Amino acid sequence: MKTVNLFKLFNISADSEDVELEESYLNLKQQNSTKEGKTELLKNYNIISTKEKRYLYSLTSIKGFKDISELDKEIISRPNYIGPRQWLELL
Amino acid sequence: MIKDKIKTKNDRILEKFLSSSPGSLEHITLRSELKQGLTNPGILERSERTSEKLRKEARTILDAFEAITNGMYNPEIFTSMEEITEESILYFWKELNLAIHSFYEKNYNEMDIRLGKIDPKSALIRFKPILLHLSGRSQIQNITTKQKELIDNIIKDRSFIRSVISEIIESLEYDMEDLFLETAKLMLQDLNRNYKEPAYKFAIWSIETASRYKYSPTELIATCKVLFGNTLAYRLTAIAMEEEEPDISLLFWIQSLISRLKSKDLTIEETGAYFTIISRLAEKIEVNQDKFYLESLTGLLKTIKFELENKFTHISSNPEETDNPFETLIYLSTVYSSLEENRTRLTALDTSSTDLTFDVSTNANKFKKNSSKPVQLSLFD
Repeated sequence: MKTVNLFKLFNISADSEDVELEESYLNLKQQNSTKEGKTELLKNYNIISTKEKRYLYSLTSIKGFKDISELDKEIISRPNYIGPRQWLELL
Repeated sequence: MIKDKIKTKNDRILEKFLSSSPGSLEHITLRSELKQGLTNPGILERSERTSEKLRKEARTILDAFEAITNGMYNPEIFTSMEEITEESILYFWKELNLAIHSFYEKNYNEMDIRLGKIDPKSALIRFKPILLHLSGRSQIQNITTKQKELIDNIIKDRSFIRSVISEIIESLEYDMEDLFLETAKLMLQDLNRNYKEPAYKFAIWSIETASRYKYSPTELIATCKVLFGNTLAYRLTAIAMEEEEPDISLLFWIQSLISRLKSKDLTIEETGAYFTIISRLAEKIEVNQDKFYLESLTGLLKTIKFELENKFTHISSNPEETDNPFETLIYLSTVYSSLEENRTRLTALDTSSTDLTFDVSTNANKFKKNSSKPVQLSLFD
């Protein structure tokens, strides 16, 4: 199943104001020319169309792994965080 | 030694820049030179002659660089960085931070856009081949020792995690409860250090699995409380139990809200969202629960009403008196939530309320079979 991070998609957080979501929605709608794309966008918009719904999404969107092998894939494909010092050594 | 020379050069340019007259050709030239050659934003923050605005920007960049390269969750840094415009001396640093963040988020198109905004003559362009290499966009042909070291550290082998996963699979195959719980606890601790989100997902998976195998999840939940704090630990447990044991899940959702109610930053919208989840679950659960369950639920309701009254003094949280705690939860959801679905639920409840009998003596229900539940509930203490 395809999962969409709606906060990333709309560039908002759970406590963003409703007007920020509306603006983001209109911008994305303008950029999206296909009918299917717009329908999908409206569906996602409806899921988090008010601040309370955004909290509802935020509280419930995290899901467990279906199988432990998913953890393996997720971790192996994740780069390590090494802190600032090692990055700066390149300069 | 070379680094020292660069630092000295940065410091010297900064001194000259701060001494030059704003608007003069020298000021503009030095500004551009500083913007391109700045390898240490810390000098802007430390200098007493730097403007307050520039010092603040330098602090923002340093905080963001530290948070992003350490994988710390700090959404505020992104808001603060928005204030750093293209004209700023720190603009390329801002774009570098966002490029590294996009790399870790696997948003490689965004990473390309951010890297494209760093001037090819800037000192920071040295990070471009590294990020392109790490993301698989292009390989570095003649890799230097320093570049290799950095790349290896970012994508180094995680054989430890793989061996722990094998152990968990084995413990389930041979039905070894203690080994499963002990290994899962170790894994949680290890993941929490570097991988927050996978740690949460693993917590849900392990509690769910423990519940499915009839293992006691008590120790796992206790570990989650230590690692993630009570509010999140209760929420993850509630999510984990939702399919297999919705009635227990309901208690954990309530406990998560009680714990959250003690925080200053809880909003009415978040409270409403909690109640929507709670009332959705309450609607699904059989009302004829055993005495112990109903006592636990009633006790939690008493606490939650008290905390709600303290937190939201302007809202009357005295719903219609009823002996049925499930009804009370649905009534509360209409008081604190603005969502239409809660009112619909309440209307449905009103028309069928005569069927909702509250019989604490009924033992003929699915909870009787599981004697470990009181142990789980004791975690609320």
